[in-house]
Amino acid sequence: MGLKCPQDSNFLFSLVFEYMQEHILSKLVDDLARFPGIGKKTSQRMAIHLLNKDRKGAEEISASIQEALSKVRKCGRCRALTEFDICSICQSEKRSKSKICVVENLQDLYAIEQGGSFRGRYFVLYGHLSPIDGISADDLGIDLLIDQLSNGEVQEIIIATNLTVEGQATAYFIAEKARSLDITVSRIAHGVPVGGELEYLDGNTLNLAIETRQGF
Amino acid sequence: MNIESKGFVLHTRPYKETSFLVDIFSENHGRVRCVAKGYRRSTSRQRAESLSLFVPYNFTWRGKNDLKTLVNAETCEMNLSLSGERLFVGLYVNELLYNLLAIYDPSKEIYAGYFELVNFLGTSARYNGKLRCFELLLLEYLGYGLVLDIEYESGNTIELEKKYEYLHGYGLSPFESQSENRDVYVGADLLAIQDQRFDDIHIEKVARRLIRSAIDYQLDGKLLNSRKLYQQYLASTKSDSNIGQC
Ligand SMILES: [Zn+2]
Repeated sequence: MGLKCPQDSNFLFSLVFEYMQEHILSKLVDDLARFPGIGKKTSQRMAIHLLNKDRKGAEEISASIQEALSKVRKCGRCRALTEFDICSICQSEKRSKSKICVVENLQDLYAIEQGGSFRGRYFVLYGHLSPIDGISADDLGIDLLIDQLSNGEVQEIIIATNLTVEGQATAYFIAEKARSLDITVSRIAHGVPVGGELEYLDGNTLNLAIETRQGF
Repeated sequence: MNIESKGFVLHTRPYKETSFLVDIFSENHGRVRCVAKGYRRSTSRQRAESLSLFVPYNFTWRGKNDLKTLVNAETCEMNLSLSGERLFVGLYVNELLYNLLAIYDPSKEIYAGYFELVNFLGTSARYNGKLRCFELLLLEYLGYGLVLDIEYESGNTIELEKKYEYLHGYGLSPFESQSENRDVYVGADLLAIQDQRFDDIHIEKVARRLIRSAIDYQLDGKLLNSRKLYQQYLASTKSDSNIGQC
């Protein structure tokens, strides 16, 4: 390794030659940089903080990661992460068994839960159909979803995949499977955000909002 | 220096935190790979001009390396959207181009054919014939255009009643009964395919079989995921078991 310019993210360590021997510390910095949105600079600060100022916190983090890794897995019904065989949403008696909302990611599920108005169950795909990337219906667990649609309890499926082409393809794919089982299919509405002003919307969004207008 | 061209997005893939890797099929420069920086940030103004498939754009990019930087992408016409079955056909065509066209190898003809096909898919349900024509055009561009009026070895003209097999990389050869289990084509059908008479359902079906084997030969063992996806999709929409236009 030659001399590095100050912009280099490893500058802090590569500057001092002796630090290059500190494999354990630099591995921790590398590992912390695995998080989305975390670069080397930030991961260095995190490592220093944990080891200098909050060693107890570091132990707790380490223990929770261990425990989560060994106990948290995908729900056997909706594929959301859970520490039970079937997650708490799927188990809840207050939830309607007749509606399933299909989302691309767990974050989408949490976002809808935050909204608080949906009282059915979910199904998490963890992605969308993408032939060029080799992501197939099986990879998204769609066969598991179809199994559940066949059990007679589900009456409506609400598809909340993203409005990208791949998200749309995924929606059509699931919709056809569901219709062939005589299940009502709906798609969440897309258009003007609440509090939004029309002049700042792009043409595609406005077109869609007009095409999918509702009686008033 | 900025380069401008009309083009379509063939594929996007998330790249780092806020960017996309975009495969563009451009009119003037063929396939180009760009980084679209910041396009995944939801607050970004650019997000409004999000990168969709099957929509014609005016692209601007720059860069000296193979991986360019996307500077701008403006939709240049009314937004067509493909729906249902035709969306899956569109994904098939994109996967074909993604796998078969080399990077930076422009072809105005293929671009025009793609533009026409996408427009057609956006407006008409009877797309089979147009799809077959585009596949033939693509094979020709790749240097493996199907020669359907003469035998490759003897140069004899094809006879209406006679049976032939197609040896990829060579051409038509008279079918000999001892050859085991091969795809066989009747002379009259081959000549009709040559004339692109795809309104005839039987001819279109034979053409599909022949072109599919020619495309498989080009793909050299690689399977098209979009073809399987399309067939899975159709399987749930139609009871007819004889399915698959791709
Ligand atoms: Zn669950």
